[in-house]
Order: sequence, then structure tokens, then C-alpha cells
Amino acid sequence: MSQTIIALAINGIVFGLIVALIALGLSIIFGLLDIINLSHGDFFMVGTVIAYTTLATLGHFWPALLIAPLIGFALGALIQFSIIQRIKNNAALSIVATFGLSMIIQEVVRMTFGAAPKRIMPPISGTFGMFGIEYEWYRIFAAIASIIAIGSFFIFLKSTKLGVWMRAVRHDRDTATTMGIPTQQIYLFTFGIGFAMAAIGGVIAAPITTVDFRTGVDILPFCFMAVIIGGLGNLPGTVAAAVLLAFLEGVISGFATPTIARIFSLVLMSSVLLIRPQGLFKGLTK
Amino acid sequence: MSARMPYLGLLLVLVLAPWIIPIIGDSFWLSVLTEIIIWSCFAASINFLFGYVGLLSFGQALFFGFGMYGVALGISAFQLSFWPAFFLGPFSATVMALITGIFAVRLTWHYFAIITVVFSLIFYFLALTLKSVTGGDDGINFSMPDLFNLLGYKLSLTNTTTQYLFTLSVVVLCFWLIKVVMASAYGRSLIAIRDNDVRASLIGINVYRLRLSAFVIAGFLAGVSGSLFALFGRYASASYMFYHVSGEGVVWAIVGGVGTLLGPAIGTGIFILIREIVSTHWQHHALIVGAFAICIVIFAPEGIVGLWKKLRHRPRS
Amino acid sequence: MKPFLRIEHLSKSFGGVKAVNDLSLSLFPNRINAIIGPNGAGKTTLFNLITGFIKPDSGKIFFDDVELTHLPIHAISLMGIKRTLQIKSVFNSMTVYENLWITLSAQQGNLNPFKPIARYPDIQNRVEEVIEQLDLGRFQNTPAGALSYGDVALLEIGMAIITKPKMILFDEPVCGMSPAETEKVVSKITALAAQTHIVIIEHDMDVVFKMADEIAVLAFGTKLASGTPQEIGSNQQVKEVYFGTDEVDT
Repeated sequence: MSQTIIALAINGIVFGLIVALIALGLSIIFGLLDIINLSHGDFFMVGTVIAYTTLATLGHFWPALLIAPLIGFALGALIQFSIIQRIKNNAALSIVATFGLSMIIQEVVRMTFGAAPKRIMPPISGTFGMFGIEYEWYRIFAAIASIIAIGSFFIFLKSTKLGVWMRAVRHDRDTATTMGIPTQQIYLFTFGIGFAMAAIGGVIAAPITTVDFRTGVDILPFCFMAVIIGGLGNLPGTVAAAVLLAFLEGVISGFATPTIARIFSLVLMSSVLLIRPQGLFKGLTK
Repeated sequence: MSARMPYLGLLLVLVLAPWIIPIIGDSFWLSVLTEIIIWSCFAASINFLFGYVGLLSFGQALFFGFGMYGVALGISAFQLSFWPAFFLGPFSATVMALITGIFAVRLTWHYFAIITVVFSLIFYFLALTLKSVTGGDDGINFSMPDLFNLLGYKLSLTNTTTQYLFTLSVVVLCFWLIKVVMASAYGRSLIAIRDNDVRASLIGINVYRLRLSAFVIAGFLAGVSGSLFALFGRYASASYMFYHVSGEGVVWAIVGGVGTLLGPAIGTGIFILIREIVSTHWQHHALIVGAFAICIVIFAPEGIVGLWKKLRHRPRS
Repeated sequence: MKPFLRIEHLSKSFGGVKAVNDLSLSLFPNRINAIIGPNGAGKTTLFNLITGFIKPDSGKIFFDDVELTHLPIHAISLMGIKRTLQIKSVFNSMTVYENLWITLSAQQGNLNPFKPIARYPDIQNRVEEVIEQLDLGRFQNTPAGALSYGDVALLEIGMAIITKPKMILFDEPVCGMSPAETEKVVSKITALAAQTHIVIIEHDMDVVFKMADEIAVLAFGTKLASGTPQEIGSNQQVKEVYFGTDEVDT
């Protein structure tokens, strides 16, 4: 029994890392553009579909890790340019616009990919012995890939010119513009990166979840919770919150049904929101 | 008096609809209109909180669900007759709104929005878990007790016209209540809180208590909507408590025009009509609906009612 | 004579900075009291503490011998204590008339959701009185959000006086105003002193010395000196805290 708990706990961490990757995209879109992106879960779903399609057409899974972020970035930039830009950072309107976008994305996928859920086999098969259980190699890969993606993102933000500009715009939009930072381009870039990150998350997750046009809907609240509980604008906090919440849910699902585990983590989230609404991790970053 | 004319005109058309519609089209559209009216009340509950108090709730589906299950379980599990069941629906929704509101209203803006989602998800998953009672996503069906049964003269909601007129009366009453409340000192206090909550407490308004009361009123409205829905389909399902339902309501309210009386009805009406009209010809109506939402946001950001007001006050060239 | 406002050993820190430091102060009736001091002296923090925006770390505040220290903002307001804000802030979507209306209505505690607004003639009369008094008639139907800065300040004063409060705290009432507007506001406030306890925070020394009967000087969160304008004007410590060791014009 305890071995199942360990497996579930590790599954939780793996899942949490993937969600963290997606939630980071959501966080920067919210932080820089004041956009509440209700279609962000669908960006993830598009990633899973790209993974499936790559495997089906090219016969290999790995190219998807490159194709998805590229397509994701292009789509994100396009969406920002054609739609989001005209909303001018109005949160209420962004809800309507991204809701409409979400409907369109889901329907397009349903039309082209089909309504039936599909599965793909993990590109790395086999298990290994760990803590007395047989654990899938792929999930370890998934965790490592997520960590690398998250890490690269933070390095990018900290050390590249574009990253510094993004942080400047997030910190103080008006000052950044006066300083000569091309804010319009930064918005385009941010939305593109946000989509790309969710898409990579989708590719990584595809072998361990179902590929279905509705998977975005389930993952969206989770991402929002990670962003809020981690602390609005607190990127490392978002990562920590996502992993923590998924881990807890994983552990609890060893004792009860997944639905009850979900209820438990939701109750926990409400307590955090009520007691410490600025997030659990506010003091831990600069 | 002339300001009231459009409202009365609209009301007249709506009352006569059961006889007008069969003339111009299929009587199926009467059911669609009934649905629109039911969901307008739901959108109105969201608009009440967002438009007049400045609180965006993404969890009204929770109270809709309580209204829905209050009626459904009242009839199927507790063997209640029509009126007690119809009372139980909104009543349980209102109580639930009070309980959750005590906590939720302590937060504002993003945190408030998120906690309303969290609360509604908790109860959605609880409803799924208690599948034996709620029927989970598949739901439960029940048969309709008579509305009115006196000396052999029966009125039942199984009759489409009776159902329509009953639903219309209830929802018109709700909208009228909103109008009256917002024209009172209480209503103006809510707007003060929306505009500037700091100033509001500075002039002596108990912001927390007023927000809580508004939250309860909104919960009541959503509960009424849910109860009417259950009566409409003789059906209740946990899937209507999912956050997606709340999200749709938010979109309808914003597209219709936030902070206006008829905005929620217009927004709901347009979206449901588009869905129904397009889906008879093309199965991919979601594309049209989504595109429509995006167009509104770009071309009519103050909503349809807002656009209407702007066009009416356009200076003559 | 008993003080109407008594502050005893009040302290408040914000993350290590002592904004108010063991401040004790008594303000007496029948005079206009001014609180002055260099930036960061703790003046607005003091107003925030009195009106309940923030709670002190230690110390007590008494108004007419009733302790205010831990009461919520709206309760303090309902006791008859009103204030204007440093950054003028009113209800932007409402007209001037409606702003004044709701202020008086809130004080009366009107919350009946079924009684229409038109059925409060006493509020209507008082609102018209204040509009007349402050010469706001021209824009009584203009949304407050469309008013000029000076007019918003005037509206705020209207909102402060309409309930005939016991005490009004004016936080920099003439900040950003033209000389003509300043003149108008100064005379209105001076006229009020007859029926209401007035406390003013102000940076404009001309205004302070013209209006105030009693001045308290704050520096570094504590009371440096208090007295008549004469006494303060010649107080060496006060001069140092404002100007180094240069002379100050009175």
C-alpha cells in the first residue's frame, strides 16, 4: 500500500512540474498583459495534439518537442496581434475574448483531430525498480524535461536582454516604455512564449494523459490556482505551488478516490486564499 | 413615463410570444425562448455582483446547482409537491450563498474570483462523489407534479405554454426586484462600494456586510434560475455545476452590457439564439459563437446595451 | 477645557520604519488645529490611525473620551468623524449630487432596498443646501470623474460637511489649488470651525499661519512642539527641522 502511495506521490510531483511549466506561461501573460487567459488550458491541449500528430505522421515523438513550441509561439503571437492587442489590458474583456478563443480552438481541434480521445505510447518504454515499486522511465524523463524547460525559462528571464525587458515591462509598464523598451513587441513575444510553454507541457504530458479536445478544460483551474496560491507575479512561487498541490493530491488519492483528493486540495486552497491571499510563497523571492 | 415604454413593449411581446411564435415559425422556438429567459436570470445574478458591486464571481454555477437539485431532490427524494419544491430550490441556494459568502466576500478582485471558482469546484466534485444521490454527470430525472390542481382544473408545467408563462413571470419578477433594489439607497450604496470601496467605508458604509448581502441576493437569483431549469427539463445534473457554466454566464453578462438591467438578458439571448440557429444548419456552431464573442470585445467593448446607448446619443451631424 | 481628541503613546511601524513613534497629542475645541511637519513626519499616518485605516502597534486614541483605537473604519465614521484624503477620491461614476446624497444617506444608515431614492426629502434638502453653500450648482449633475481637481476637492469638502459631523480631518485641503480656489476653501473651512472640530494637515505655510489657532509640529513620528502660530514661528527647533538652521518667514 505504501508503495502505491510513493508511486502516486511521485506521479504527483511529475504532474506538478508539467503544470508548473504551463502555469508559468499563464502567469507571464497575466503579469505583463493583464490578461486572464481562459484559453490557456487549450494551448496545453494543442500541444498534446501536436505530439500525437507528429508521432502519427513522422513516426517519431521527439520532433514534437521542437515543433510544438515553434507552432505555439507563432500561434500565440498571431492571437496577440489580431485579438488581444485590441483589448488594451482590460481584464473583463479578456475573459470574454479568451473564452471565445477557447471555444474556437476546441472546435477546430474537434473538427480536425476528431472527438474521440486517443492515446500515444511513451517514447521511452520500460520501468525500473525504485523504492520497491516498478516506475516508468518516461515519467522520470517527463520530470527532467519539465525541469529543464522551467530552468531555461528562468535563465532566459534573468540573463537575456529580452528577458530583462520582459521583467521591466511586468514591473512598470509606463517606465519601461519611456525607457525605450518596445512594449508592443514584448507583448507579442510574451503571449507567444506563454503559448509555447503550454504547448511543450502538452507534448511532455501527451504520453501519460489522453489526447482529447477537452483536456484543456480540466487543467485550467489547476493552473490558475498555482498562479494565485504561488502568489500573483511570483514565478518561482507558481512552480512551488503547482508541485506542492499536485504532490498533495497525489498522496491523498492513495487513500481515497481521485475526486476526493481533488476536493481535499481544493479545500486546502480555499484555506490558503482566506488566510494568506497574497500566496504561500510571498516572502521567499525578491 | 416614456422611459418605461420600451420595457412595457418588450414585456407585451414576451407575454404574447406563445401565440406569436407558432405563426412565424416552429413552436420549438418557444422552448428556446424559455431557455433564454431561464439563463438570463443566471446572467443577471452575475451582472448584479459584477456590474453593481464590482465583484466578479466565477462560481455562480454553484448556486444554480443548489437551486436545481433543491427542486429535483425535493420532488424525487422528499416527495414534495410543486410549490414546496419550488421554494426549496432558491432557499437552499440562498443559504449556501450566505455560508460561502461569509468567507468569499472577505477577498476582492482576483482572489474573490478564484475562491468562487474553488468553492464551486468543491461542490461540483462533491456532487460527482455523491453519485447515488445526485446522479453525477448523468443526472437524475423526475416527473413533474402539478402546478395547480383545483376542482379538476389542472395547470402543469408539462404544457409548453404554461411553462413558458410561469418562467416568464418568475424571471420578470426577479428583474423587477433588481430594478427596485438598485433604485434604493441600498442599491446606491452598492454602487458606491463598486466605485471606491475605501471612500465607501469612510462615509460609514459597512462594506463587508453590504457585499455579503449582495452576494446572497446574487446567489438567490442563480438559485431561481437553477430551479426553473430543473422544472424545465425535469432533470438535474452535476455537469451544470461545473465552472464552464459560470464562465458562460460571465461572457453573456459582459457581452450584453455590464451594469445594465437588460444587458444580461440580451447577452444570453444572443448567444443562445446563435447557438440554436447555427446548429440547425452546421454542427460547428461553437466557431461562430466564439468568433462573435471576440468581435463584441473588439468592436463593442461596452457591451450591446452600451453600444445601443452610445448610438442613441450620437450627436446629430 | 477638555480635549476633544486625545492621542496617547501611539506607535506604528511599517517594516522596521517607525512612522509614528510614541506620539502623544491633545487637541482642544473652539480653535482650528493644524498639524504640520516635514515629509515623512507621520502626519497622514496619524490621520490613517485616527480614522481606522490602520491599527496602531501600541497606544490609544480617544475622541470625546470614547476609544477609537480598534474600531473599524465605518464605525469611526458613523461616530461623526469625517476626513478628506490626500489624493482626492470620490465616487467617479456618480454625479456631484449623488455623491453628496449617498454620503448623507450612509450616515443615516439607510439600507431599505425597497424604498426608492426619491422618497428621502430630508436628504434632498440638505444636499441642495450644501450645493448652495459650496457653489457646486453648476456641475451638480456632472459625474465626479469628469470634474477638475479643484472641483473634486470642493466636492470632498461638501461630503465632509454634509452630515454636520463632530470632527473633520482635512488632509492637505488646498494641495494643487489655484490662489483663488485656495482662498475659497480657506474661508469655507474657517466658517466651519464654529460648529465642528477641525484638524488640518497642511504644507502651505501661508495657509497654516493664516487659518490655524493652534499648531502641532510632527517630526520623525513624534510631537516636536505645539503652540500658537506665533510660538511655532519663532521656535528654533521647528526651524531646524524644516530648514536646517536658516530663518523661516512668518
